[in-house]
Amino acid sequence: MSLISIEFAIFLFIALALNWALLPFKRLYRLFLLSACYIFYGALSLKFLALLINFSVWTFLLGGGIAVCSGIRLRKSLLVLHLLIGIGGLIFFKYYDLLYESMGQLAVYVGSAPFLPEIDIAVPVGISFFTFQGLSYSIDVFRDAGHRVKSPLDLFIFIAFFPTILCGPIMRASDFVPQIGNMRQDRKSSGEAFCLILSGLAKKLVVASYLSKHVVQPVFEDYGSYSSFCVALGVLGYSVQILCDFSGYTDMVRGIALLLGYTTPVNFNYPYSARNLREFWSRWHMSLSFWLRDYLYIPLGGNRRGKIRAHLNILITMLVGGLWHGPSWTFLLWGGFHGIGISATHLFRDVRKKIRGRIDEGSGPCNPVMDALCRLFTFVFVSVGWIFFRSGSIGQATGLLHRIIELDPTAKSFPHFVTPVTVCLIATVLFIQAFRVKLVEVTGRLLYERSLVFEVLVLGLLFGLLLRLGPDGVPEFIYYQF
Amino acid sequence: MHFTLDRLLTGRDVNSTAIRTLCVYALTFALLIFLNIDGVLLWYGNGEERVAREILTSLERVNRETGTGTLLHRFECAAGIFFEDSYRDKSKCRGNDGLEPTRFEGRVGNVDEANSAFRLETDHFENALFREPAQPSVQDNFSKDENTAASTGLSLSALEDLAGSFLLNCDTEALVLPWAPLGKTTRDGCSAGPVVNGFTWGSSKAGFSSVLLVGDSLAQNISLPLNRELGVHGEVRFTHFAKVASGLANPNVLNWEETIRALMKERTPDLVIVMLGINDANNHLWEDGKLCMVGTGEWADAYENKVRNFLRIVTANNARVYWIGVPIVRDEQLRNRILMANTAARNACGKQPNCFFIDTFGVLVDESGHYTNYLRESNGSSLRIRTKDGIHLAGAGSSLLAKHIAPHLLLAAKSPLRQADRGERTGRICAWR
Repeated sequence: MSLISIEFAIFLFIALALNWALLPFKRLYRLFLLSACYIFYGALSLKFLALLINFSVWTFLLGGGIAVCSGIRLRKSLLVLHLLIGIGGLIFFKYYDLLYESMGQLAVYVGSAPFLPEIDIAVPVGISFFTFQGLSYSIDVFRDAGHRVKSPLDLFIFIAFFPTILCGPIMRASDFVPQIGNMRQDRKSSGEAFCLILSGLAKKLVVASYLSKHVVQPVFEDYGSYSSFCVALGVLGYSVQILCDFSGYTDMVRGIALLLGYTTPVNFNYPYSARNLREFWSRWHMSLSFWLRDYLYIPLGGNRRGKIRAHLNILITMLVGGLWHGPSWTFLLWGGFHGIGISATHLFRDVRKKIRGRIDEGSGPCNPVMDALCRLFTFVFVSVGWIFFRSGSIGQATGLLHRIIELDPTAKSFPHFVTPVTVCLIATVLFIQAFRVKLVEVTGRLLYERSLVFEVLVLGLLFGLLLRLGPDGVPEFIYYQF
Repeated sequence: MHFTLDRLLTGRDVNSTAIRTLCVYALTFALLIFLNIDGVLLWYGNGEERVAREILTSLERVNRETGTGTLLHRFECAAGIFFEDSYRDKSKCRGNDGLEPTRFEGRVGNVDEANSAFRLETDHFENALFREPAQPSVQDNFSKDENTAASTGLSLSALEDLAGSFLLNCDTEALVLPWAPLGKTTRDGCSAGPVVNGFTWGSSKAGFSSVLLVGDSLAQNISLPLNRELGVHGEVRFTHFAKVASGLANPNVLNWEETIRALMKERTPDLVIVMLGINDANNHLWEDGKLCMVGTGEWADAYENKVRNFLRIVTANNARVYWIGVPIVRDEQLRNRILMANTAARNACGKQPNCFFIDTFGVLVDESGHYTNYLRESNGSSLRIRTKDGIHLAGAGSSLLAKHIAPHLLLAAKSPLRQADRGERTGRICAWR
């Protein structure tokens, strides 16, 4: 069931009605919400649903065991077991093909039979997201038994919460579980919810889908036929497309969750306005970024074991972050590219600290020109990284890069996508990013202060127009594949 | 629970806020249905719920009579100038050419529901499932060995020189393809006659200058590699129009009859390549007010009619059309339905002049003819040819399929090489590089 479909709209209406009607009945409410989550996920595949329930059961049992056991060794063993189940499952479903192909190449090189058998594996949708969510729970319980969730229903709802299960954001049990049965509902949040859904739809239907079809696809599929400028425009288009696609989806998810009364984490905070890569990762896919920081970078030692170890930890964390997106060497390269960039940022900061004798945390350079240059450089760096992210192979990525660097004005195909619309779309999104224009908040405030009729008319008209501007059929979201 | 209308409208407490939120949601949804009633009616199709149908029909009447529909239609058509043809269906915005468009009468059904409601008529299609695909005008690959040398009259070294090329029997115009790539076992199907004095370039047939590829996501998969294959052999104007998730059975995504009519007029191709069917194999069809469940004989007949209607539009403009059959897929039930669709398309093509069917069902298979995600290369490494969904083509798979299709088209495509007659025919074998 896609979020942009009539079926989901009807499902959500029924869910909303029951969500508030059953709220006074504690257990019945939880059973209803869990059923809604399982109906939503089960509509994709019952086999995937069985896997989800299996993982939830293990998470509950092992989390409970970690909390009640006294011996540190036993607690560690249970945690390791849960990590093996979660990561093992993720590796099997998501990365087996990559292992098979890589081992196959190795076998050919050494002249032996393939090391692994060929297995046809269907990847459960959302496995990356709900696995990380479950693992964060057991690690939190290990660190502090007070984080244990005693009600299995609450934990199962946390793992399977239908607005977030497919594409995140990755939630923390300590933030979400207390909200179950104690949701927030007021005019402001209701207005904000509808505006978030509107914003998400606009980003996806008007911006992301348009750029994908008209700009990004032609350039990435046949970059050799276009001039260097057009290829660069295509890469710029992808930078905007992926932001709008993913942040648009997150906006819709947050809006839907807010309609149900649940607050979910913000996932994007004007990432293209970042002055350096450290700041970029505190603004882009924040739930994943913070997960990697809290459950990988810090356990590895963070920056507490010397400078060299700190840089190594950054690189490992970013490589894992890259690979999390999918079983491809291009994702690994993308993660490594960012890891090197973040390490360089830290090095630069250390050098500046030595020179200046002090550091102003978070303020960055005061000179507006330097500030703008830092933001521009960061954006260009990130955009170059997106080439690897989007490309189907390393060859394609390097070919694209080479085409841009060539600065060749000649082209075999006419760049019909270089239109005022394309340029305006890209420029508008980047303007909003650079100046952190708070469109959703402003629109939300305008709506919730007005009457019901006004709100309905404005929302209905805007939604109606957006649907006329989007592509035919049901548009796919980029992050569904992760 | 006590609340007044004032508290409901202002949402001063949680209960009234919740009810207000529900009201806003429901009313906005209703307004959205009203504004997009055409899309909703297509989605609902010929649903059997009388009350729902009456409500939707009334809404559609109000939408039309108030002029809201016209206003929105104009807005959509005005915005359409910024979109590619395959992004949004712009056929509604074009003038009528005097040809009545086919009205959609069908409903997109749920295949799983259909499976529980009918029995696949395997008897009727048993032969289709297990019969070797017929290729009336193409010979299969021959193995590179003495037998082939003897049957063609070419020496082994000459055969080596022809690696990557293909041969044409100039008398029968039967293509003799080179040995298969990737070390696949090939069948010796060469029936070329003896060569007298080596080989030479052949004379051209009535060629084609403009090629149009249309179809669904599989067509999108092969468009670039096919363009490259055709481009290698000379200049051919190649354009494509592909719409993901589209098919003849579901105009909710794209009305293909309207679209191909417009494309033929705008792009005037003389060779059209069609790759449709994968989505049709998942949709029921309506024919003369009767629902034909996918996988049944009635469905096959209805689908054949749809293909024939489509082909009539294409060939009405004197274009030659090649219908590419859908390749094998992983899911067994879908595979059987695809075979049915391929057979229906082949039959329709056979009844239409200037139409040729290219079977690809047995191309992307392993040594035992089964579906595979990987093909083994001659050096033992695995080459991924299908994506995770078991339907679409990975890069190498697209290239392979394009290499299989291209020779059929090169016979028709006009090429400088073909026109440049480099020597008189000295034998019954002609070669193209």
